[in-house]
Amino acid sequence: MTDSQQTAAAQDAQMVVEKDRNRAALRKTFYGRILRSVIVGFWVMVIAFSLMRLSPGDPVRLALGADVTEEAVDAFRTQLGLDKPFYIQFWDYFTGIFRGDLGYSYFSGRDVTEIIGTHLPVTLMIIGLSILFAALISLPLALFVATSKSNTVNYMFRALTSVSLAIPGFFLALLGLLVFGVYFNIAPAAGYEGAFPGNLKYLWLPALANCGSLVPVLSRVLHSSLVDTLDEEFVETGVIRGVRKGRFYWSYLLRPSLAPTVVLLSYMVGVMIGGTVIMETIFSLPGIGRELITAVDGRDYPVVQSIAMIFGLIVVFFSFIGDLTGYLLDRRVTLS
Amino acid sequence: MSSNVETQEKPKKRFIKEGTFGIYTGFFMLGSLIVAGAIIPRISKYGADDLAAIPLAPPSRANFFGTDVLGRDVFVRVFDAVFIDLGTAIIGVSIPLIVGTIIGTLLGISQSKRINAVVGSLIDGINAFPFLIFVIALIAFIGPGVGSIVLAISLVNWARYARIARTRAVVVNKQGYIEAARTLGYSKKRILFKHIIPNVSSETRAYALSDFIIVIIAVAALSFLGLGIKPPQAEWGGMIRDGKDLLTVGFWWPTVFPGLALCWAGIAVAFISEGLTRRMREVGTR
Amino acid sequence: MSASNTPLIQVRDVVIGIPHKRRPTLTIVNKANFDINYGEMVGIVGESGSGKTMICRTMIGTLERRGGKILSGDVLFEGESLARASESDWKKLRGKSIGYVPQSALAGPNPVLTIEAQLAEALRNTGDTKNIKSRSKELLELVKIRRVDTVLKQYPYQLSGGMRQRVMIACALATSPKLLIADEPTTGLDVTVQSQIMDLLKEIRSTMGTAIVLISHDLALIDEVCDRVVVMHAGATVEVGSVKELVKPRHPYTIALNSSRIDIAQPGSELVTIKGNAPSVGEWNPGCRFADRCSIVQADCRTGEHPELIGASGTHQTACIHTELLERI
Repeated sequence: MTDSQQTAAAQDAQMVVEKDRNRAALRKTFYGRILRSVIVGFWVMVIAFSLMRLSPGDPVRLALGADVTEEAVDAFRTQLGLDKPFYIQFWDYFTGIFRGDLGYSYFSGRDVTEIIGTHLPVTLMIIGLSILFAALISLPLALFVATSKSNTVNYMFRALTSVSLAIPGFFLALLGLLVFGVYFNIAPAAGYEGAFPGNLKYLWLPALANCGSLVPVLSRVLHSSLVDTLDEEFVETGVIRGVRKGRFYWSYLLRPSLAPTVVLLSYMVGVMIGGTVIMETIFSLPGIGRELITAVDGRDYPVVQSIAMIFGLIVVFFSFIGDLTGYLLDRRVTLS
Repeated sequence: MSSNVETQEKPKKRFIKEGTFGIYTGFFMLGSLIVAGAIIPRISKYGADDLAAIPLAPPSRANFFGTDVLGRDVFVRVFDAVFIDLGTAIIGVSIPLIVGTIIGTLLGISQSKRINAVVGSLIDGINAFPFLIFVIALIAFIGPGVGSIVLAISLVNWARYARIARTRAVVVNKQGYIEAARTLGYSKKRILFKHIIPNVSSETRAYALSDFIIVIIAVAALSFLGLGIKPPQAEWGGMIRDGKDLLTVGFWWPTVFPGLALCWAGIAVAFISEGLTRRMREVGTR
Repeated sequence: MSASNTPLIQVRDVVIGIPHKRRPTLTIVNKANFDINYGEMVGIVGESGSGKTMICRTMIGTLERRGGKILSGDVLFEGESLARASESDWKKLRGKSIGYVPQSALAGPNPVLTIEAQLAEALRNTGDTKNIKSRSKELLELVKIRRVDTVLKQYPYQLSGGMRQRVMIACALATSPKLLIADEPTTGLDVTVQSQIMDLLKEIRSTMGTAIVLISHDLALIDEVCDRVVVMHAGATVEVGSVKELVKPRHPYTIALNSSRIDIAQPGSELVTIKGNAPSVGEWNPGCRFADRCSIVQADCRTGEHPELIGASGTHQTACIHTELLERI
């Protein structure tokens, strides 16, 4: 028995060490990842702030138009704090962000925070709905193709995903409008009403068109990790153990394959935001993207700058959440 | 029974390499679009801006794709737009490819931790912005037009190439043949341009192909949003914008045909990209 | 134990191939013959590609999902055909009468399930769903894991390779199987852990009377723990005998395997390696498939089919038709 006692003692020691190592490693990667997000978030603010300086002319003069007096321009400049030195401007802007003060629109004079606050929920809803649709399409599709032994199915999947990657979202949206709005007449071409379940009537088609750019990428990544998983030895043990079908698909195939897809999904939030801007324009939805286009048309710089910054921060936030979720789903994944 | 299983033939060698079909199809699609873009506007009865027939005439023998709201021939305009759309996208991919590869490579082989931390997080910062949003925001400040589009796309996109190049350069820089070249006393410049950059750029060039699809869609999307190439220049995104309000009242042709042309170009590149990826993977597994 | 004289497993002339739509079927195993008796510990040894893993897949019914197919012959479990077993037959067999310990300890357990969940799955497979928790603990104690309560709540990534393999053995034992198949169970584990796992397998055999098939490319390892050895080369069994009998091998391939062993090499003498590579699947020449690598090859070795095993089952069998020349090696 001495032998096995020794073994057991060695095991104990090893377990304690492993546990500590795991905790320490987790803590370290977690804080490291937060730090990285904060640094990148800081850069996002710096870049958004610097946008104003890129303008070839004087932004104030451009905004006010040609026929204003020199005094009016100067007054406006002082009012905006643009006469102060660069670093003070940045400090004001930077601290302003944390006070929720993003400045005022040149035109409507409205608080930019308020503009974003009223319009962001619509945009986030379109994004959320797009992701939901994309998941509902990609998951069964990838699962079907990965478990199919047919070469034709695999070939068709590759060809179709690569073709659909090349179809622009705005064209897809217009075709959708033609089919569902005109031909079947089940989707409104424009208009919106506020409250949650009611607005789905206006949001489902934009979200469906928007997920067109997400589905090929998502299903491909999920498909390739499913194929990898199917080759894993634990799948074999699952088969041998006679695990029930539903549980097998979830615990032995999907969950071990999901982590890369979730991480990718969080990176695709940026693409989704870009698509949403177009969808809001096409379907006249009161989202933040349409505000952006209006602001660009009107050279409403504070609004453009702040919307770009908010979107940048949203992406930073989601890629953090995505990395973390991927890690929690499957500890074999390392936090990048 | 067992003997016939045992005297099996060797599997036939496949002479057609993996991905060849995709590459040829892609090049054929792209080539035919370019040829059509070069010939059709020249030999057509109407110019791109000529009023060819009554407005919104449906597709017919005289006007294959019908006419738009001003009575211009959609067929001619679709092909007249080939060069502006493809050209803007090609330049919009090439500049970031070159700039990003060089900056990323230099960063990857740089020994300075401080430069790596600062420039590295700047690259992450730029990449954090959604591509289209950042380009739109830049255009707000520098104004619309072909030049602005290329400039805006380049200012955003170099960082994506730089990230790929940097990761790759770190790996390449540690490879044996680079060490060997150093030991042989080759100059730093020579090692960089003859050995490191070609190896790094194989990866960024592969990304450039898939990026081309994103960029050509972005160029059209900007015009579609009214921020890109200005009318009357025929351009796919702009044509779709002009026709979109008529779509719901039954005039589909001014919108659908330029959209199909845009898809055609994107699909061509997607096929080439997919074929090359498969071929590279096959070479890798051998 | 079964009263009858039928062996637990009978592998009878089994031919296993991988069918392909456009290309001819690749035969991977052809002319494999051996028995496994109740409570016996048998080692299957061979190079990679010799078909040993394929044979073990036919015993656990995962051949088809890996693209393989039994073309002819059969594998009998307690006299019942496994080649003709339906999916519902397999449901009864797999994990119940036949347990399986996978190759790689690191990839064996499901990474997203706790140890408790995996043991519970295995235990539910017996049909008896009572006292899962206490039975799980018993199983972990059986494979000599301490701090059972902690381990139950852990995920595989929190355990060392040796511990993971113990857990896999516990899962395989959940249903008290008659046969346990361990396919290179110590791949990637270091030597001390490897011998602990082997000791554990030996102990399970003696206390529970489970027959164990140990698949390995390491003849020294098999010598140490097994009763009998099956030597495979290029999809065929070339020699079958007890460990004692194999001290005097009767097939040139086994002799070559023996002389390339590090553990019994004479100090100072050169380590012998086996000439050439095992013939690739699909590139088998007529006659004995070892002919090209054999140092005593004769003209008649290169004609006809691969030779059958000579001798009755249960005795020392060899597939070499020129055993009289073996002394020359």
